Parts: sequence; C-alpha cells; structure tokens
Amino acid sequence: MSDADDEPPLPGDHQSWRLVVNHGQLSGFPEGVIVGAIRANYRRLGVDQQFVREMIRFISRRMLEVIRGEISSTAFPNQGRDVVEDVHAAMLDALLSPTAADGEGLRKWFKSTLRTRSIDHARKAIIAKKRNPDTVDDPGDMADPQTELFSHAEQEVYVQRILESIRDKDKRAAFMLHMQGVPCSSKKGPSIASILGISPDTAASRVAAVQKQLTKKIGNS
Amino acid sequence: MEDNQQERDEALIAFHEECDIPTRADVERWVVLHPKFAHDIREHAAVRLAMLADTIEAAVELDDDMIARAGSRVQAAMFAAEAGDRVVDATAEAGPTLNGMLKSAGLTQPELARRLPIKRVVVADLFAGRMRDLRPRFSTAISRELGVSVAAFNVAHAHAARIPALGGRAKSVGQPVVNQRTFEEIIRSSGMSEEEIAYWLADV
Repeated sequence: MSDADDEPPLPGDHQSWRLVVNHGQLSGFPEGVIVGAIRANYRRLGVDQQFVREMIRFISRRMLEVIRGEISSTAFPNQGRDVVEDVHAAMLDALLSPTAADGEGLRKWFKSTLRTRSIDHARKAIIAKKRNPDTVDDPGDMADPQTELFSHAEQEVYVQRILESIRDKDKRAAFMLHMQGVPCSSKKGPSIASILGISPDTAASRVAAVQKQLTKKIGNS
Repeated sequence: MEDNQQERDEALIAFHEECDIPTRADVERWVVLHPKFAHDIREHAAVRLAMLADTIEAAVELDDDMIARAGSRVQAAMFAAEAGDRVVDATAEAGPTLNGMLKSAGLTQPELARRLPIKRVVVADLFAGRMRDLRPRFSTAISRELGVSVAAFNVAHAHAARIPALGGRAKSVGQPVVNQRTFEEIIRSSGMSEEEIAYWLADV
C-alpha cells in the first residue's frame, strides 16, 4: 500500500481503500475523501463491507469531535450533549443515505457542513431557551426572540470575550479592528495598518496569527 | 421549497467555508451576495461567535460516555440502512418487480395512469423509484389495477426505491443526484386539480 501522503485512491477503488483501512492509514487522508469512498462503496454489490463499516466508524468519530467543538458546553442544559447527539445522529443518517444532500455536503465541505448543521440545531435550542423568560440572559437591550436571536449588545459581548482570550495587546488591537470590519490595508479609507501605524504586512500577519491561535485553542472544530 | 432549502444550505455552507470567524464586513458582504438569506447569514454568524466565545473559555472534550453512545448510534444506523438490503435480497428472488407486475397485468405505465386515473408523471416517478412515503389509497388502487396484493406491491416498491433511476436528472457537474420525493410532494406538483389532489392525499 502506498503511503497516506500520496494521492488518495479513487473513491470506487475498494481494493485500495481496504488496504488503507487494514494498514491503519485512514487518518492520513482528508475526511471528505474518506466520505467519498464510503459513499462509493457502502452497500455496493460485490464489495467487502467490513472495511467500509470501519471507515464509517472512523468518520463517525471525527464528526462527533467536530460537532462537539462547535457546540458550547455552557449555553445549553446537559453541557450541550443533547444538541451534539442530535446533530451527530442526523449527519450519520445523511452519510449513509445515497441521496441525502448533506451526505454530498460532507464529501465536499466536511467541516463547514457540520458547522452549518450544528448552528442550525444550536439556533433552535437558543430560540427555545429565549422563549422561556426565566432563562433569558441578555446583558443589554433585549433581543426580540421572534425576529432576532441575539441583541446587538449580546453580539458585542461575544466578540469582546473572544478578544479577551488574546494575551498579546498588539495582536488583540489588530484583531479587534479586523472583527469590526476594518481591512488590513486600504487606499480609500482607514485600515488596521494606518490606525495602528504599522505596515500592511504586519497587520495581516497579526490578524493571521490570532486566527491561528484561536483555531488551536478550540482544537478539532 | 426543496430547491430553496438547498440554495439556503449551499449559501450557508459556503459562508462558513470562507469565514471561519465571521467579521461584520464578512456578514455584510455575504448578505449583499445572498439577500434572500440575509437573516440566516446574520444569525449563523451570531451563533458561531457565541459558540466560539464559550468554547475558547471552556474547552470541551469528548467523554467516554459520549464516545460509547456515538458508537452505538453508528452501529444502529448501519443496521437500519442495511436492513433494507436484507429485505430486498430476500425478496429479489421471491417476488416480481414493479415492471414485472405491470407486464403481467398486460398494461403500460400510461394505461395504468388512465385507469386510476392519475397523472402519468406520478406513475413514472413510482416506477423509477423516485417516490417515498406512499399513501394507503394510492397503494391499494395500484395493487388492484396490477392484480397483486398490497403487501406484494409494497415489497416491489421497496425494491424500486432502493435502486432509483436517475432519469434525466444527472448533472453536468459533480456526481448525479437522485431526487427522491414524498408521494405528497409528487402529487402536489403533478398539475392535477385541487379536487384530485385532495382525493389522493385523503386518509382512507
């Protein structure tokens, strides 16, 4: 079997995929590629299903890790487990269905499809929570649960909390402007570079460093 | 309705693909790109930031219980998906297909549609395996015209739905997608009169 760093086998090449599974090399391939192989071989006549089921278990675990990283453990009852499990169950069904649009979505945009569905489920849970006045937690102006999920003040608080996790003051200042929609450089108006008196490259580098740092902090999501 | 949902999902997935941590400028740009889904885009961005703020402060890891429950879930999902195959495998040798039943009854699809009477497109979707969630009135009427029991018809339909025909729906880009719809969706979009639609959708 070739090394996992090589080009992955074609989705329908079940013999090569069986070798990948047997050699424990699945983790060397992008999730979307593995989803493609599952969808091409699962319940396919004449194809040994044992290794396909192994791929399904592998992807199921990855889906669970990603979804867990997308759902807050403090915003929902039971540490958000119920929301995570609902999303996981729905995405499993989609993975195994030959016609589900989300199954195809997992193949093309694995993490973004999981994020979209996680947010759809979280959104429903938040709406349900907001309709119960006893549990509303609004730091400023009240959001109307019929028309909006979070008030402007709430959204500002979330951004502020993200910013507070950045220790380096220079990087935090650049990222704060970035979150407000200020570009790194601009000939037409204010930019992170002009406001902070740094070069456009430095501005871009600081924003990228924070993005990388946040991604690292939230682990698998 | 279904197309709108798909378009909405594609827009949101693309939004998250491009904007990992959405800024105000990102949101406004995507709202201009997809004004129809402005509300969804704004709310998805807000929820993403809320979840991110919480996750950064209180990182969560999978516990053994969640992993075990997910393991059970995947086993159950595979069992359920493969149960259909077992039924089909068992019946493939025992029972005729929908087309076999049609042939035995000496009918064609247009003739069967005229006898019911129902629009041809409905019968065509049934035989192509593009129909799910059939209503008892329809199953009974079809079985009667084909001269078979409802149970035998249901088995043949399950087989057809398991291996649906793509029929002209293959796309020029990407993999072909089978558009399986419910009986109700097919009936409502068939072009029949309100009275006919109500008849086929009524409970027996």
